[in-house]
Amino acid sequence: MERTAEVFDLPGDLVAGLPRVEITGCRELRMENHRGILAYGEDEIHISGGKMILKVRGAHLELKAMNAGELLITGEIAGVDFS
Amino acid sequence: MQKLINFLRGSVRLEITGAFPERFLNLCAQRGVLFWGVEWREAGVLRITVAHRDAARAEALGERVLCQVARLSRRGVPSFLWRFRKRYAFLAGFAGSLLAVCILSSFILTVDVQGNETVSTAQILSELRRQGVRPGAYGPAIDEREAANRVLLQLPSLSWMAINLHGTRAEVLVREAVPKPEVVDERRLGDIVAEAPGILTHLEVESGQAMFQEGDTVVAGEVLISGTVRMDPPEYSGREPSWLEVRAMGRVYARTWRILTAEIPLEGMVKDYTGEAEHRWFVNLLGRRVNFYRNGGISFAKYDKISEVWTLTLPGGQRLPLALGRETLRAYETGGAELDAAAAQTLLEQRLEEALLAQVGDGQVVRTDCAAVRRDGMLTVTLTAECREEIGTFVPRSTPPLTNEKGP
Repeated sequence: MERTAEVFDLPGDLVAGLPRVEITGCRELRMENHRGILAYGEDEIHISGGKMILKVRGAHLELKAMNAGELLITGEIAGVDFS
Repeated sequence: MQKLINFLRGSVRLEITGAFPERFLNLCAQRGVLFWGVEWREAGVLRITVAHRDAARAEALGERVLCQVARLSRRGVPSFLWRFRKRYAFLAGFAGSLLAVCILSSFILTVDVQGNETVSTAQILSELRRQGVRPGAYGPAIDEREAANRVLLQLPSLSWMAINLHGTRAEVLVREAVPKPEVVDERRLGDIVAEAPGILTHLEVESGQAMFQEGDTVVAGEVLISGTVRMDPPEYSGREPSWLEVRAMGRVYARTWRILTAEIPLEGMVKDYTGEAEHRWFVNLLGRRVNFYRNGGISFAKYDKISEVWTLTLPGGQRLPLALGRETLRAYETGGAELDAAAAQTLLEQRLEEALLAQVGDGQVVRTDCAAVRRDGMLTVTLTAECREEIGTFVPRSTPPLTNEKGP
C-alpha cells in the first residue's frame, strides 16, 4: 500500500495508514496513525508506527495527550529518528 | 477553560506500577480513556491523570496488562461531593433545601398591582385575596383568567385585569374603566332654584326664563331661572300669550354670607401615662398572624395600643410576606385639665374654615371674620364669611308640565 500510494502520488497517511508526524518548532510533536508507545522517558520516547519505530529524543519530554490514533508530545525536542 | 472543565468533571491521579506501563497507556488510548499529565517516575512506575468517570475503567485496564493501579488523589467537584457521602444529616438537609426551593418557589410571596390610579391598591388586593390570589397561595392551583374575571365582576371601576405568575411574584396589571359622562336629561323639566340667600352678581341663562336680574337679592328656595317660558304672540294679533315648558339650565353667581358656629369645652379630659407598659410580639407570615403571647387579660384599665411592624424587604424594595411586629400597651389615667383658650380658638377657627371651604366648593371666600365667646365653660367661635359662589341648583318639577295656554 505504501508503494501504491507512492506510484499514484496519493497521500500515504490516508491510503496506507502511514504515520504522519508534525513538529511545531522544537517543543511540540504531533503524530497521527501511531500504533502505541513502546518506551517512555523524559529524555526519549519510542512510538510504534507500524513498520517503523519513531524515537523522539530531547529533554523534559511529556506525553501531553493520547488517544487511539493521535498523540501529542511536548518538551525540548532534540531530534527524531526512524528505525 | 480546559482546567475549568476538568475541575467540573473531576479528575483522579493514578499511579501505575508494572513491567510495561507503556502498554497501559496504549490500552487506555485504544479504549478511549482520556488521560493527561503523564509522569514517568522510574522504571516501571508511571503516573497519569484521568477523568473521574474513567478512573474505574482505567483500573480495570491496568489489571488486563498486569499493572497495579493505585489512586493517589482526587480533585474536582465530584470528589468534593463524594466526601459528603456518609454525612447523612447534611445530605438530608441538602435534599430538603433543594426540595424546599422547588416547592416553595411555587407559592406566591408577593402580589404586585400595577396600572391603577383612582382605584386603591388595597381595594384590589383585598378583592384578589377574596378570590384566592394572596401571599401564601399555591401558584399552579390558581386559574389566573378565572380569578381576574371574578375580580372584575366585583370591581366595576376596573375594565381589564391580567394576572401573571412569575415564580413567587404575582404581577397584576389593571386598566380602569372610563367613567360615564354625565348626561343631562332634557326631557326632565324643572327650575333653577337658589340654594342659599345672596345678592346676584352674574346670570348665565342657557335655557328657561330668568326671574331676577344682577343686583337683586334672593333668599334660599326662590326660583332663579324658571322652566316655564312665556311666548308672546305677534303684536296686534289679539291672541293670548302661550307658555313653553323646558328644562331650566344656566348658572347663577351671587355674593353670599355664611355663618358657621362651633364650640368646645374649656376643660377636658387628658391622658396621664403611668409609666407602666407591656410589650407583645407577633409574626405575620403569609398573611397569618402568630402571637408570641398568651391571650390573657390586660391588667390596665385604660391603655393605648401602639403597633410597630418591621416587614422583611428585599434590596430592590420588594416587601416579603414576613413581618415582625410589636404591640406596646401603655397604661394611662385620665384627669381633668383646663385647655389653652388661644389654642382651642385657633383649632376651632381652622375647623370652621375647612367646613366653609367644603360648603363653598368651587366658589371663593372673599372675607372672613371670627368672633369667640366664653360662656358656661364653653368656648364658642362664630365664623362669618362673605363668599362668591354659584347658588343655582336644579330642582325638578313634581307636577306634570302645563299643557294649556294659560299662565302658570
